[in-house]
Amino acid sequence: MSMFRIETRVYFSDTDATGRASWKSLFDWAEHGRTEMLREALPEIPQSELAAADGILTVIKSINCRKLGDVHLDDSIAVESWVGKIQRFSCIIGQRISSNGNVIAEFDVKAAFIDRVSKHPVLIPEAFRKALGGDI
Amino acid sequence: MREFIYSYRIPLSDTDAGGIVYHSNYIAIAERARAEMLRDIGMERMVLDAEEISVEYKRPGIFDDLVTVHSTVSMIDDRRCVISQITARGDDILAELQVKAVLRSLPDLGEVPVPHELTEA
Repeated sequence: MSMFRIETRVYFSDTDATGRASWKSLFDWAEHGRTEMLREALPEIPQSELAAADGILTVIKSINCRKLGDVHLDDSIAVESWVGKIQRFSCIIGQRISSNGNVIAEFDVKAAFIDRVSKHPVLIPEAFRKALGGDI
Repeated sequence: MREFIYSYRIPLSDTDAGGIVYHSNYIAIAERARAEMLRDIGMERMVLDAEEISVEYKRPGIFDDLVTVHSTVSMIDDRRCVISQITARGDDILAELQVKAVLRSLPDLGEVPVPHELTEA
């Protein structure tokens, strides 16, 4: 799949006393973007059912986030997500948060799949691999 | 290099339905550690305002864990610094962060030179 986009808005709960959205909210918005990208790619397998049926959890291995600007209360924002590279046990997801056409944050996210009980890595499920595409 | 240590007990509100600490909460915990680091050297009403954060997740934390954040600061130039922050449960490292930041005063967010007390023992 190619670029996936969600839109949301900056709420009071996202802001701090400087009037800006917090770093935690940037990370949370990025997670919402990744989750909705997965939901779009695999509409028949919600994350909760994947964990219940196959005992597989998605986990984040690493994130690099570069903040390029600020957003404030009531600003509308867009989160764009795409799969950069799929490996056997992990994948790289690129993400960009923008507001009014200005990029405010860029992300490189490494995600992996683990067994819910043992917490050991498992191969990326074939359904995910096919649905997400990316460079293999 | 001076090391600052901040202790924190993981509350239930930091965990998610996977049973582990939700990943963005490590960002908030590290921010608290940076704030206490500034308080330790007598710089209140200041913020180490992050421009870039890299985080590697090593092991999952869970509810009721007592974690410590070990922070050290190195200078990039006279305005910017990198704070290395290791969040650990005993000897187990949970997350490693690298935070590129500028020191700013509140509420005006004006840039302030990074004091040597942050980097020197």
